[in-house]
Amino acid sequence: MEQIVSELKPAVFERRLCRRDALKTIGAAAVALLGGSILPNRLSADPVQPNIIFILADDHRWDALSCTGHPFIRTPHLDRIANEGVLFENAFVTTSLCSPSRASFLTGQYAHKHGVVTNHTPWDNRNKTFLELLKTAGYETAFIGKWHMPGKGLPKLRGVDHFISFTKEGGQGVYYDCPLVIDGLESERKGKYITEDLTDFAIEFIEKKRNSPFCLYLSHKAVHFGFRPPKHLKHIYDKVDLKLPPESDTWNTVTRNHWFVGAMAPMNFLYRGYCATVVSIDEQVGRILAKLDDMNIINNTVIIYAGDNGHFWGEHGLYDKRLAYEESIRIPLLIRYPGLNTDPGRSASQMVLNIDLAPTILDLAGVKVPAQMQGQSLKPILQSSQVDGRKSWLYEHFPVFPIPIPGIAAVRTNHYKYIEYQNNVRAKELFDLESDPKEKNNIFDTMEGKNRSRDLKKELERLKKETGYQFYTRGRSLAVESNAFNK
Amino acid sequence: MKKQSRLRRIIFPIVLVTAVYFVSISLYDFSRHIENQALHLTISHASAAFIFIAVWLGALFGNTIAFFRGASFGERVLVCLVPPLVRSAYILSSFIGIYSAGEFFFLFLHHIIIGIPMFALLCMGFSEIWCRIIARRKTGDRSIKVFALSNTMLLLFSCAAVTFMLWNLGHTYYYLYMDLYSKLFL
Repeated sequence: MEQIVSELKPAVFERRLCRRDALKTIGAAAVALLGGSILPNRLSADPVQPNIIFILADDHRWDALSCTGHPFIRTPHLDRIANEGVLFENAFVTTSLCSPSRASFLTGQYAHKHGVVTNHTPWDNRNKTFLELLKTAGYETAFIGKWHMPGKGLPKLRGVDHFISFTKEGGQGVYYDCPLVIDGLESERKGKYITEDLTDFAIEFIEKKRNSPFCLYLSHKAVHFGFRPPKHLKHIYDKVDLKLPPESDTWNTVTRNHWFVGAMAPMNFLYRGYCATVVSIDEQVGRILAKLDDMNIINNTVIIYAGDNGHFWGEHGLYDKRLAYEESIRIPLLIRYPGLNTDPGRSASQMVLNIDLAPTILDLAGVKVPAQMQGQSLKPILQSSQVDGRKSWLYEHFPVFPIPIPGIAAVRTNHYKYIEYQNNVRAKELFDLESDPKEKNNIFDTMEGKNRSRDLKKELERLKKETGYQFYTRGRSLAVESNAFNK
Repeated sequence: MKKQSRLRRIIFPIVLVTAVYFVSISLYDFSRHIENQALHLTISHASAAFIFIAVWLGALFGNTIAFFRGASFGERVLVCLVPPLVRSAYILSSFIGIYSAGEFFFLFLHHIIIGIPMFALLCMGFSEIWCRIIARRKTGDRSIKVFALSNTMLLLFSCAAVTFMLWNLGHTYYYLYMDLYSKLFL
């Protein structure tokens, strides 16, 4: 527009305006103004097929970011995605566990539908991923990072052009020297730090010359247990007041059966490592953003950042995840796509789920969302803050041997959360999330609770029916106990 | 050593170690409900220290008491094994209603369940050494061997078992265990 205006200037100021000239000038200005309102979108984003980058962190809980109010973790690059995009402040996972949640991101389905119900149940390669559908639509695709769905090695994923992952330690990987399987070939990675190593591959993929749009699925091992930051960040939070919740203490991690989930060190030590490891993810996200800036493709690229589940750091006296409390099920979800989002920096309060990712990506790419996907596209929420979100959703967890946490079915609404446990191993729970956001008072046995729980139980059963819910005791290979919650 | 009553040489050390464990774990669980932070932290730190002593070092104390109260070697093994077995049973009770009977029994091989009794035997092995040294000095009885066959075998066996389970911070054993689980149950 500036260029058009400057071209007009001499004509405007060098001679006296006649009526025709004035009309021409106004017409040109109108075209320039109209163009100005249209051009940014056209220049910044192909409305049909933008590039897509999905970055998935492990165990990164929703409030471990500076933009979500963490007292000391600084995440400027992730904050940038939020500030230039949309921060979903009520994003959740339908199962708070690595493998089921990851499969849900890929397939847009609940765990009971895609079949990866625990960390030990294998991926069924008949499952359709959004990567496969994007490939069919002309995208070049790459899956880089943690796969962590058991089976005999890594699957031959349909629709994935480059598949770089790891199988060490049951697919969990390790922070240092983690061997990778690069398009089927094993590679030692001596001296490499996993988050940086995976980002190197991601940048290499982004830089590749191509004529088609690309989709990068970058799935980190960080910030999962082990909590090992790179050497230069190892001590950044050594002297920080951790501000852990009041019911937390140093020994939470080594008491109350938490050894079964792998905690063998004091809470404070683990949490410092966790926070520093979050910073390392942020640094690597920064490298990707810088590369996109350098290549001048950042505005034609949808950037999505999420965590695969939350994490307890002493809330309710708990450590790890799996349970249906907020700290476990809430995740960070940030989406930057200036081509679509006209009010950057917005926080969206609608309840959104990990199963919404696949339909969202397909929708943004202009690909038809298949009927078997159970999530909803977030495109309308990205476009407008006035869109209604879902009213309720189903949370499910299946027992994961050898962890002493029963199967869970729960329904969460904006106001309440109702939780049932397998075989009533634990008492039913009902929380008023508006008056008790920390879920400290189980009101199930109160008068209000009795009234509310009837409706919520009905809603839970409706959601189970709608989603084709089944309860699995040992993965899909064994008998289904559909009445496990009704005993 | 003069053989004291069954109550004093066997029951007392078992009850002492087990009671310290259960009292301290109850105190610890209670502590997080205390709103006063200073009191919460004091109780949680103190109770956690006693949990640690009862779980990891209980056999050192139990065996020493039993030894000097005249318990036989077999009785001392019992004194050292009962508290961790009670603890394991308590931990296992939190699995009831979640897994099948087969999986429940397979849990017995989990290093948290089987590892703590093994560690107790290791502690007993070490405790035997100093108990025997002290006994030799106190009584002047040169027939008391510091490294008798029984306690040496116990020490070697428990040391090997604990090393195997803790190798690579326990990851190696865990993944072997889970591979076996997958083969048997999935």
